[in-house]
Amino acid sequence: MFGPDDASAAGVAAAGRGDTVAGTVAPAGAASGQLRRTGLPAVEDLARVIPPQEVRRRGPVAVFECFERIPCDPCYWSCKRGAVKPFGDINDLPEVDWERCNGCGLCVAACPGLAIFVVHEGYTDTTSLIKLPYEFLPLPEVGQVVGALDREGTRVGEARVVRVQKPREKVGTPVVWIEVERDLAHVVRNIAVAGGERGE
Amino acid sequence: MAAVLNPQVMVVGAGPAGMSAALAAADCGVKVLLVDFFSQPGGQLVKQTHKFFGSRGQYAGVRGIEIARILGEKVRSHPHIEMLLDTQVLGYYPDGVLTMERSVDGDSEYLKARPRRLVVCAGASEKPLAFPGNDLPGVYGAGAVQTLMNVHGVMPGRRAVMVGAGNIGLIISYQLRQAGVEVAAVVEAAPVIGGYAVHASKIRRLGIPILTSHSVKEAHGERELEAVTVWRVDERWQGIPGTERRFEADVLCLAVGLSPLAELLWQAGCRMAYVPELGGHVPWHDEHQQTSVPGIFVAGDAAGVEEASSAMVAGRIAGLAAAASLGACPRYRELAGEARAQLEALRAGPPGEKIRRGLTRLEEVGRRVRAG
Amino acid sequence: MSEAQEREKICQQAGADQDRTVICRCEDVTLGEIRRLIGEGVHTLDEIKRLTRAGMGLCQGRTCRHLILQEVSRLTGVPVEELTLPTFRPPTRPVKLGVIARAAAGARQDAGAGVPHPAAGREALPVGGESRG
Repeated sequence: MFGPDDASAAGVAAAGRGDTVAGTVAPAGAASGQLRRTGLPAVEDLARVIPPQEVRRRGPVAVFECFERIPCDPCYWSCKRGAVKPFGDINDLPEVDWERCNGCGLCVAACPGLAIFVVHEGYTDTTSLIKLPYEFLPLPEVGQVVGALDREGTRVGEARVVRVQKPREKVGTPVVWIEVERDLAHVVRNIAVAGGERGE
Repeated sequence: MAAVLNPQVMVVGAGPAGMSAALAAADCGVKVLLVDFFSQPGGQLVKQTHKFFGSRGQYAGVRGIEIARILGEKVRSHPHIEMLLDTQVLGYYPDGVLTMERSVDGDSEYLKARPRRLVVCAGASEKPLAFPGNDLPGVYGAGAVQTLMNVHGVMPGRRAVMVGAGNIGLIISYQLRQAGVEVAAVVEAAPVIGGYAVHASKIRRLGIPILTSHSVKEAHGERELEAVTVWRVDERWQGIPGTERRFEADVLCLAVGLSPLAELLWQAGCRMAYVPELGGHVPWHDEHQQTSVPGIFVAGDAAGVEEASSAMVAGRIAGLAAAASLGACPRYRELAGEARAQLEALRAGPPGEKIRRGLTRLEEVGRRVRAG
Repeated sequence: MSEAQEREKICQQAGADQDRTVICRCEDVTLGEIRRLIGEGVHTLDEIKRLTRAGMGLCQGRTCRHLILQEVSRLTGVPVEELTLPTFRPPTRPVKLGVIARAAAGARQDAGAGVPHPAAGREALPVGGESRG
């Protein structure tokens, strides 16, 4: 159920925790029942989008947490390396060419659904790096330690801010790079910055 | 000064559909009068701080507020478009005259127009919800909350409960949090989330719970909203006693759907049909966006509630068709064909299923009209 | 209990909760009032409108029409699509009579000649004439 390899080692199983109901395996291209009911992707959803182990360990790579066919294609246009395959139908789910993706994160800022993350498993021996979209004020400072939140907004640990990419235009989406405990690479999807949350 | 304006095409509503219709017609060389009740063009776009989906032709990845600015500039600078803002259309009369009230420097003037073609892009109004305490201050329509925050920079309160997990409810929950308002919960009467999963996941990451199969039982408060009781509903949408949950909140935000604003079309005698999938009573219209009254076109939410991306494309078709009917669009078949293909693509996926069902129902009504 | 009896009961039992549920906020009409009327045999939207003023206020029924339709449908068993809506008449929004009167007086005085342009003080409207068609 966890896909082609030991995705669970990087927290994929934990990532998918929630009220998964046995026997609700969605057909390819359709979101799981759990996602439709709760907004939380199920393990089967995540297993379809998390890159193979050798790709994940090689360096930063984009993880498209996009599970539902909707009319949307800015990720395709944002990628300068052709790593997002052309859309036949605008409702198609994005398909990533892992060999071309270098985890630059342009798509993270472009995705209207804020559904793309860049993950570098094993950024150091003990940590992983995550680049995530963050549209709240204040933006964190480089070096700041912030709360690491999972897909339900629950605090699961701490994160150190490595870099803050501010968009060139005021209306863009900032991308925050954080370093987390290695096994939390596929668990942490948001941060809690002290000093409140105000829209970017 | 009730001089009668005689534009070739008059477009009512300067939202995404209306601006697209006006630009399409004006690009054909037709003189267009574009009218909107608000002080700036954009319709709902002026408060939509989220990025749009769709494809590049409909500004995918661009925030609604930016689309309003881009289209607004195009409209303002177009030599064939005259835009009257702060102008409320009051009615359509049998001689084809529309009356309007325009606010100028705190005063009002009464205007009339008798366009050769009319394109109605009046948008939609929010559906209300009936529950005890629904008139307490603090109970808002979602649109009002979005206007307060994103147009006027006013926080609606400190802690909100959102009703409705369609795209509007999900997006505004996110924007409430951006504004610094806590969101206690999103409740949704249907057993599944109606909006895009990406929007739902986005607010779950903020720690906001989404309670499906739940609805509002009651709003509490002496002088203003203090708390909200929600409860689980059965498959007949009836509340189940014993499942109540109470949330302290000073904002209750209703995002339970929209219904087309079609008063002018009713007045014009356009054939209407009740199609719940499209938001209620909607004007029958053909593939040229023309209603049952020749010369009157409709696009955007007024034609059936849908996404803004499709509203822009349908508006374009309506504008082209209005121009073509005046003999001003020789490439109509080709241009409208391209736009229709875009519209079909936008509606092709699972989220478009409801729209497709609604349009099929509307088509059946049309067949019955033609047969009868 | 038959469906009809059940509907009757809902109308009869309209109480405090329904009286705290506002259906037409412009004219302050509650769910309780509407249910009691339906229970008395008032089954058309037009009748409800005339008896309660629901839908005759500032918003001209944009808010309450939908709720009343659903309520009548539910309590009479007639599907919404078969219910007749009240007639839509101009004006769609409230307008001061003075605004119309002033315009009418102005039009008489000017007798159609040299009527000040609505966009006077800005630039002339290009929409007056028709270049095509």
